[in-house]
Amino acid sequence: MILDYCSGCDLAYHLNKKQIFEEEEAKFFIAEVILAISYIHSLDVIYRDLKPENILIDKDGHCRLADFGLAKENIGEKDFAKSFCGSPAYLPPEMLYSKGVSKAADIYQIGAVLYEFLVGFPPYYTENIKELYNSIRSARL
Amino acid sequence: MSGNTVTPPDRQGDAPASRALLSSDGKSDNAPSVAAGTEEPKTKFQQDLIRMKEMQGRAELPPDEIEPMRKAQVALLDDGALLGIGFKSFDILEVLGHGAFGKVFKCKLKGKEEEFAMKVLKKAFLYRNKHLKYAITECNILKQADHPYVIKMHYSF
Repeated sequence: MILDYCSGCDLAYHLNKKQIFEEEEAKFFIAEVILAISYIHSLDVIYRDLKPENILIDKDGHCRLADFGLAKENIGEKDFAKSFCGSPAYLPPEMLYSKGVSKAADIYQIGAVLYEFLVGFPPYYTENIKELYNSIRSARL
Repeated sequence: MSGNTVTPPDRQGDAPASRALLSSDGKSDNAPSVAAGTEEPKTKFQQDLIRMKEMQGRAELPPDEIEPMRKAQVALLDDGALLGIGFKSFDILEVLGHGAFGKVFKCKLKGKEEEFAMKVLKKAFLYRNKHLKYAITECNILKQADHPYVIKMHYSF
């Protein structure tokens, strides 16, 4: 596949360098991500793997959503995808309950990514996967 | 593609890492031929780069014919391979990253300045791990997608 070359690296790299983003920066990036996800949803596609690593920055400094390796087509408003997939820290609760995920999962992940922009690590972050999953299921932030 | 992505059960597997890369010239399974006397490359990235360059011959299309071909191809949502745009039409410049299912290279259409990213997936590896459908889905979605904040796919082969 020949894709756009994004010279600005990914947001995980920038976040790692800066620790956290200023509110203004976070607002700018997340707004572009929301537009991208809403466009993806308009095609009846769910993305399922939203995280800073997958948000690239092009040469003009704008976000580019990349890596549709886990995306799924033909998911309308009421459809669910059954596979368990994604990156542990950003998994939505319904994925952990194996209920199947819908477009709402991407919206949860937008929230998780925004949290990481402002706080420096994803919600409920811990090295212990079991503890992480339990927190995602039931803990307060 | 990052290493810490959880995959559904049918995507995991311990098939031996395949060297078969996305190439139609049938050379992909050959061991890289390092000429006698040349110094052994130091990093894996450098080795990959050399191997990719060795796999390339000459472009089949003259560069000034590629752009019209591209336009037709975009209109038809067709595969690059059908129009003679393939692996050999590009100069590989550097390795940008690699994941479980393949690698990403920075590349350039021969004779042009514009830079692209080339995502190369190991077809045989995907096939063996029943992961091919995810690659096809990715390709289909990217073909449809046309949005300023979504990565654009120019060719696929």
